[in-house]
Amino acid sequence: MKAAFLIVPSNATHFSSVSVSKTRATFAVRRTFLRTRKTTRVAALRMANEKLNTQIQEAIKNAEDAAKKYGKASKEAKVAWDFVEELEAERSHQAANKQSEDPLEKYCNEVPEADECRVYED
Amino acid sequence: MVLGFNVAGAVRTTAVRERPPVCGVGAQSSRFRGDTMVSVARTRAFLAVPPLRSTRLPKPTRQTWLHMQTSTMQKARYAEKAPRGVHKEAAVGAVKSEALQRKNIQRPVMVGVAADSGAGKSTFLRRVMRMFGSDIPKGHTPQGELITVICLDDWHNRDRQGRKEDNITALDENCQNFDLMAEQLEALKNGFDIMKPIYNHETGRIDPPELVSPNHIVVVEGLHPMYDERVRKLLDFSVYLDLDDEVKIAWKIQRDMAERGHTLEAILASIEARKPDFERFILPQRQYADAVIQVKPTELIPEDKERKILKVRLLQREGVQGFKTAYLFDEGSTIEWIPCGRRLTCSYPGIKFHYGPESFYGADFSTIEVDGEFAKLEELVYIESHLSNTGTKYYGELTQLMLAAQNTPGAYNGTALFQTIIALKIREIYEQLTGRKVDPVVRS
Repeated sequence: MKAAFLIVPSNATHFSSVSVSKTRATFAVRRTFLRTRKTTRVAALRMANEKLNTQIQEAIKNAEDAAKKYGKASKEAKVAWDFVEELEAERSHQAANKQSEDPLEKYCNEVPEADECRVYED
Repeated sequence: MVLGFNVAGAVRTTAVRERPPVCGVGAQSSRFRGDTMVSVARTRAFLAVPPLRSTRLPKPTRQTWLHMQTSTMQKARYAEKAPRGVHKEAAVGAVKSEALQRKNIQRPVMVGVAADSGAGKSTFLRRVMRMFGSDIPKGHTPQGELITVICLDDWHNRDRQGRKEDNITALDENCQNFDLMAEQLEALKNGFDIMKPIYNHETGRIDPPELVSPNHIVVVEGLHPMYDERVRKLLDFSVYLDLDDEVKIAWKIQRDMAERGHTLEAILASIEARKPDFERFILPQRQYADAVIQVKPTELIPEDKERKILKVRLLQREGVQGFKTAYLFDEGSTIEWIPCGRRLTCSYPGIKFHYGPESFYGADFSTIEVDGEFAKLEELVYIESHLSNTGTKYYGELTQLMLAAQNTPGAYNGTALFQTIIALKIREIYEQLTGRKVDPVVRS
């Protein structure tokens, strides 16, 4: 039978238009990128705790308000910016930990030249 | 030795030493190991009244297990030192830890790592942890087979709310319970378990303490490892990660502006606000470090704004026991080296090395500097073959370790190179001080 198969890996973050040929029974394997360094990093950050993100937004707002109210060099402003720094550090730690749990990442760290680990930059 | 556990199985959260002994037990050994259930059952046999069949001892839950393990703890001397009594449950072991025997620990080697947040501390710690075993159990305090990493933020004596009320930052010396920190770290170094308080960075509160046992290598990392003299004396080796202001801004932009809602003004304001406390409390620790990794903007590209290429300097203190400083070609001389040329082709802007003696805060240091980026395997191997005293156990280990951590930030410049060298040096120092051997992590 004439059919064209399209194989798209489930964790592909985006796929562009794919040509599907109906006249030939071919595997139209689209070498979509399984992951790029940039998307993995951004995806990990997005997957990080949403609650933490909103906390950081609030903390930045508080810090800017405190700086406006008490002055940039005041103790209140320093403490408020310290909270922002602490939350941002926690978020990046969580994102880094989550990233290292991915078995694909771990495998690619060991064997960077494997087929699954090919990186395509747009 | 007084037994302090409750045979009926009720769990108390604080374990104090002064408890009346269970009747009829006598001088039973109080060292709990895997056969706790057996020893408890054995104890019941000594009771005057034989146990009823219906009253079975409950299977030890984690809390009970911790309770049994911690029953040989005594309240820490400085547990009441913190305001609002946040550290009142901190404890220190009364007998030597069973981990010493179980893991065959000769003496714990303590390493201090000082850096402000966002300076590459966690990347560096991950490299060190990988050097001593790849599977470290996750948890607030990673405690693996060979290495334990303790965050010094756990000894904050005020939670976030408390700091807000008292208007002090986490960098302030008054915000740390240095007495308890010194007491517990000294106990840990001498082979006792500790019940260390936990500071939860996500909620900003101080959680109930956790059990930390001594280990072959104990890394204490945070803002003030070298601030207090008592803690400084315990450290066998100390590292300080130093960043120039421009690099600090660039890294913060990379870390935080990827997420929506962060403006450049917010980042600059945050760094400016942090500066006075940083210069007062963190920077002075630099003079006590045995190794300093300084990250500066590159000198190879004029008017560089991206800060992708960095100049990294490794300063190594001379005369530290067990620490053989790494060098280029000829130890003690001054060398300028550009490896790119006929044998090695590098991409723009190339690589430039410097090695030489230096006087840092009045002490003798040897400095290795590298400016540029190396992404190709050939460059790494070429550089490794010319560096000496790096602490590698086989030719190519440095390259392999750097390749294994390719996806970490700074993997292609001097930060990765020097962090890996210091991690290797920590392994070497451990071997020198204890006489043991650590197997290198070989990848197929």
